Amino acid sequence: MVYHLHSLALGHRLTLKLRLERPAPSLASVSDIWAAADWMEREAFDMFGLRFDGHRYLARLLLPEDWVGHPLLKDYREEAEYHGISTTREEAAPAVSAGED
Amino acid sequence: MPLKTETMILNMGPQHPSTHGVLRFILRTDGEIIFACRPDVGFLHRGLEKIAEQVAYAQFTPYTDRIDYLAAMNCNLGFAMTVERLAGVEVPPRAEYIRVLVAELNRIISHLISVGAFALDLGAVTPFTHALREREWVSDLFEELCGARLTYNYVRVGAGWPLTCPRASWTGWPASWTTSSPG
Repeated sequence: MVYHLHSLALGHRLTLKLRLERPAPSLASVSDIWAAADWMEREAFDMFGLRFDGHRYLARLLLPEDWVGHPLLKDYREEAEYHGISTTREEAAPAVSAGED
Repeated sequence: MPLKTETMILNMGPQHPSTHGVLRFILRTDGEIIFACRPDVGFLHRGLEKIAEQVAYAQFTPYTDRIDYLAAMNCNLGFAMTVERLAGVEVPPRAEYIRVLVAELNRIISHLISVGAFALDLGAVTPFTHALREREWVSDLFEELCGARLTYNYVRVGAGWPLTCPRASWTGWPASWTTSSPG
């Protein structure tokens, strides 16, 4: 988790990096300090499964609330179906090989 | 005797003419007063990051057209520059100049939509038609350049394609554009 902080009044810049442990990464919410962090923390929860303790409404931001898993984790495997709708196709388009074009 | 009232929950959207896209508000209303509102976003979320993981770098450029479809050149450019920096690739000066030209032109016609639509929201209909008319000139140039008028897929990783344009119709345009616009 990386925070980029910038003080408009003082011109200070500060970068904070926090290492989190799988399988249940959690950290304190900063949304009560910076309101803009509210939705950003919800997106991080949605996509990476990070738990922000003290967040007032830590629900998925972009995906449906009954979605299974957190898609931007590298070990995420998509479910074959979502409410009976296929999420995969049999033949994906072949990747362009290097050196063509 | 006061009327008995009660609050109610009202779903506004996701399809609503005032939202410029799909966006749902879960409103808690007391008569005509909204005293709580929860936005529900994500209806246009297409998982671009996940798609990018699954295709070759060059195959992702058309997706960047859709990040901001009113400024596709600029989104192409941001992606191309990122991949070029990762790969340690430099593009030739001619490509740099063309990139600046198309990015600035795209920025201008994107702002035309922004300002025109803003006036529309304020109730002034005519400025939007002026804005659309002024876009035509640049849309025609871009169409000549890459065949598309909105999603250009033009600025490529490594600046590979197609550098034969701009041609004759691209010369002398700034003067005619600025003098022909009544403002």
